[in-house]
Amino acid sequence: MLRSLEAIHRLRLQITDRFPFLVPKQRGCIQHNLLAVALMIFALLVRLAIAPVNAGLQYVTFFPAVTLAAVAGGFKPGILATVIGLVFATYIFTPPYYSFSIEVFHTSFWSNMVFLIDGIIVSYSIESMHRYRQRYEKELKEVKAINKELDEFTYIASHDLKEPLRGIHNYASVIKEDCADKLDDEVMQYVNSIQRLADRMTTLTDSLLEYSRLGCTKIKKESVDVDSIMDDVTEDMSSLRSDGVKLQRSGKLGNATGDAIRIGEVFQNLIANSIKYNDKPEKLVEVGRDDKGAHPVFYVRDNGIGIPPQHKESVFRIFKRLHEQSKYGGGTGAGLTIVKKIIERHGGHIWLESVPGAGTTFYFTLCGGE
Amino acid sequence: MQATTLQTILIVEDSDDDFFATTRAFKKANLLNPVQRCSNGDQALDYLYQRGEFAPPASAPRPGFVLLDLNLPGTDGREVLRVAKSDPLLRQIPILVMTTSDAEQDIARCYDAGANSYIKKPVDLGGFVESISRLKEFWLGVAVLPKELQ
Repeated sequence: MLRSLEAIHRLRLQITDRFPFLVPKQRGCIQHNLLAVALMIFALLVRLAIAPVNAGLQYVTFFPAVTLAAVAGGFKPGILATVIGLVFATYIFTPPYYSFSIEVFHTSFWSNMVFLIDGIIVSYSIESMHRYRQRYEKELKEVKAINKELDEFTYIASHDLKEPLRGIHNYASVIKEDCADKLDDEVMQYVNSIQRLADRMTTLTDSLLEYSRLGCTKIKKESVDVDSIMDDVTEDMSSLRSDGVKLQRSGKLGNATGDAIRIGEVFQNLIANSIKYNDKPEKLVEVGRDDKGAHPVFYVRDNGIGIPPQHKESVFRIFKRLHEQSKYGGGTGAGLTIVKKIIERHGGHIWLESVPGAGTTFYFTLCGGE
Repeated sequence: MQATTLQTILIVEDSDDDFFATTRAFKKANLLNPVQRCSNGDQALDYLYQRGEFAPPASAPRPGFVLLDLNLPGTDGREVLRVAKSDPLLRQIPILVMTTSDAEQDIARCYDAGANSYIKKPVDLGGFVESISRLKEFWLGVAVLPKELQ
């Protein structure tokens, strides 16, 4: 039961998504009632024009008119149109024509009933479609507002956190500079630790800032040449020129729609990870494109340490690291989160395949993600 | 290199810690000019206009340049900048914005309002010393500052 209700709701959303003009801003106001009356008069004239009064078929034009009235104004105008239709049917189309008589209850009772019930059902279901759509839009607006607030909050919080951090770092420097001769080595170690931790927290808040800023800024949607983006990335990344690192492109990367700078960041982050989490003497990174599916899929493949299957989702969580601080050159654990956010802001999807010990492949699309 | 009497430098900064770091950097950079601190925007405007607590002109000599933080309690740095740069008597005083904000919007707005430069607050003490010695080198060495109007 619940499932079929859900299916109906989804169908309603799909219908109104495709035909947004079906959802009026307001419903049941005086203009809509006047429109219902006008529609019914028009329907009557059309009906009189196409067939003689005694031909039966009295509802043939009334059904669409009732539906239109409900679509335009919801439940009340739909019911009004139905009632007008009933009056026309009994007064004009039932013998003796053009007059009211008690005969109606014999000759047209059931057809009138069918018309009435149909009018009620049509008006009611269209009304509920309108209501559902409006609630959905309201909720969507709320969710968007909450997300925006959250990003702003993160931005402000991480910005304001930096000030006391700078103070902590600075005073530690002052102690080191001014009191070096008065403190023994152990205390100096503590002071160094204070500074190191302040530094670390600064990079963490910087990552948070970057992440939240991604939520606030607009992502461009223009046609970009992915090959030239990769050329820039290759030129900028000094780690690509270290010993044993080999980056290759399998075929052309072609064009895509998106924000060139952000797409560059995605490649840069993924390639940096490929090199960083790699214990082989020859570190291989392969970048490519796959056009077999509905949307082009880009991938970055490496022969690194791999990601255990239970961490396939959690690697994308902010500040989640799979290794201790000292291993694989540290880092904040925000890189993949930022990558994921960039891709999701584009409307795409990212996932990975990995064999622990043998390598990882990150796949992503820039559209068609759910 | 410098005039016989050193010009005052006005620092508008609400955070004691950042003010401490700045003055420490002044010392390290051997910058000997007298420093006047205002900890909010209203006080800074009072100083520039020689009014309120700075009414006696001797208490508020015209500064050689102003180091201005943007995020201040009450009247903030952006407003101070706007007021100072739209006043013909004050707009010749170089105003160097020094702030943690690196929002493109802030940078553009400050230059629009007539800021003479925009400096991102260094993250550590070493950076402060570095920035301040360069500031000193340029604004008190290379650059030629306007003579006082009054």
